[in-house]
Amino acid sequence: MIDLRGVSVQFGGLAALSALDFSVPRGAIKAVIGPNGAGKTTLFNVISGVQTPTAGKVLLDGEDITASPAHVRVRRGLARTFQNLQVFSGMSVLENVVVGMHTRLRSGVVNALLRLPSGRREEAAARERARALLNRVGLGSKADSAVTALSFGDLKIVEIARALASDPKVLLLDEPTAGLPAAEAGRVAEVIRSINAEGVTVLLVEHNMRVVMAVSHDILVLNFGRRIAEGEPAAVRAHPEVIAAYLGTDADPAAHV
Amino acid sequence: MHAQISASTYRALAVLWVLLAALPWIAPNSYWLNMATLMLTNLLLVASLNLLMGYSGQISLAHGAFFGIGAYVSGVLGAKYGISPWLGLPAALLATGAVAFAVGWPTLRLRGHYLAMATLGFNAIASVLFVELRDWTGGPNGLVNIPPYVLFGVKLDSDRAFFFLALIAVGIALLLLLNLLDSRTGRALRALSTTEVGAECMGVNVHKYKLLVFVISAMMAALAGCLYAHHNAFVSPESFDFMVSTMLVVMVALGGTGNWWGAFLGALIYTVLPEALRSFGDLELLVYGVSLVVVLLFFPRGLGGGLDLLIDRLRRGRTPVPAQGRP
Repeated sequence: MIDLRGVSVQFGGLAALSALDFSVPRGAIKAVIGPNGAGKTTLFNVISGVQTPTAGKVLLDGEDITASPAHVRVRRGLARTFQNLQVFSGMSVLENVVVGMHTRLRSGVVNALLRLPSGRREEAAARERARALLNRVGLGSKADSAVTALSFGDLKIVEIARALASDPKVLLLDEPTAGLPAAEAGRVAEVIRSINAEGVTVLLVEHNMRVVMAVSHDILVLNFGRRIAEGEPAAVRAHPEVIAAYLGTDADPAAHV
Repeated sequence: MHAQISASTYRALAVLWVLLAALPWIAPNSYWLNMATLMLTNLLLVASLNLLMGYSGQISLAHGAFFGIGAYVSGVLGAKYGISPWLGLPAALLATGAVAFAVGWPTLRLRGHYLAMATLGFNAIASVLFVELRDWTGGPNGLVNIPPYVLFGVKLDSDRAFFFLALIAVGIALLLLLNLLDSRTGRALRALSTTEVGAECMGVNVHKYKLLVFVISAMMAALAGCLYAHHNAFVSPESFDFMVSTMLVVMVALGGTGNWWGAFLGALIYTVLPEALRSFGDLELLVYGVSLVVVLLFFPRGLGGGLDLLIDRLRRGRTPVPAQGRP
């Protein structure tokens, strides 16, 4: 579904990603883990079109989208959330979700200026659908609140609903459970599974290992912009380089004796 | 937070327009009627700039230039080529829209101060052209003999007739503006004004929408220019210089950036204050500056924002128990 071929991103002298080959199969839930600064968010930015890679190609469904701007990728079925939130602060929760439907709505500027009935009907239907999406993620009661009145954790969930509003084929979730209490994190994990069950391919960056191990079919471990391991959760957990990256280079038990 | 556009905003606008329509019979003399007409064109200028600044998060220090291009295109067509102002109007709107497109295409990739500088530069160029294209514009002495609008053989050059023309034209423009804000397009604009990355990743073509709103805003200023030119029968370059553009930005901020009714307050001040301060002579600018600083110090969201706060407080005062107790 998503294929990266030899993708590098260079910030000055720093290589955020180095010749990374990577793919997410259709229908999978794939997690990307790694220490801070490993290149996880850069990877997301490259896939979503926020960051242009210095080298390499990005393919969506076999088509080269390396040169496509971010908004075109959304139209093609790619949606994302943000680690540090990018909510539209002047709007209600519901309106935020309706913005997510932008590419699926048709009425243009002339329709808007003249307030044509077709545009009003479309608008009403969009609000209805946004409300249903918010109910689905458990935020139905907050639909009409100002988005600024919500907690960080709730906003992470609003972003998931907003991303889903675009009817994505692939959903990129950047730390969806960061800042959530354990029970809430469990609920998000449930939502991720149910989205996936409907045929949406999911790629997530996540620090909460409990969530990662529970939902993902497949894990990529990054460090310093390179792959250090990839595979099923159990195999990755046992991988010596992963242990080293997470616990420090001298994880050799002998060193602690 | 932006003031929400709702059915009550439309109702309030309708009520205000009905009240204004009675003005010719209430106003003690034609001075007041002319002030009201001037205020209507100023309202169009401030409200259209507020669309760009307040609702879309962009800045333009060239709104005076677009106002001027509208005025000169329709004015020159009428005065030099005998073309009806009714045809001059669409010509002026299209010409200004085209210029705004050409200016916006490269500059709207810039943000904040850079966009301000680029648009300011454009205003300077436009001011030079208004003076130097002498054969058309009449140069620094201005363009004279601009014909009035004529409807069914009747010249709309009386104060009363022109007031109604302005009332209808500005009313329609404000209605279109409200419609735009409360739509998919308006939502995309408000989205990109808070976070361009967020909007882009929701499928909003950020550059296209910025260009769109820049063009629409400029065309509304051009409409104000047409009204101004054919009402005055005379235009001169200093009516469209960078000082005008700066003052319009100030009025948007003073009224309340992104506040629908704030634009009305801004336009009111822009129209009335120069008259009130006329006796101060050279001190006019100083009084302007000081009052701006004072207002923004005490009402950072402008007078409109301050008014919202006051209304909110009064309402709460009347119903001390919030919504819970209601059936």
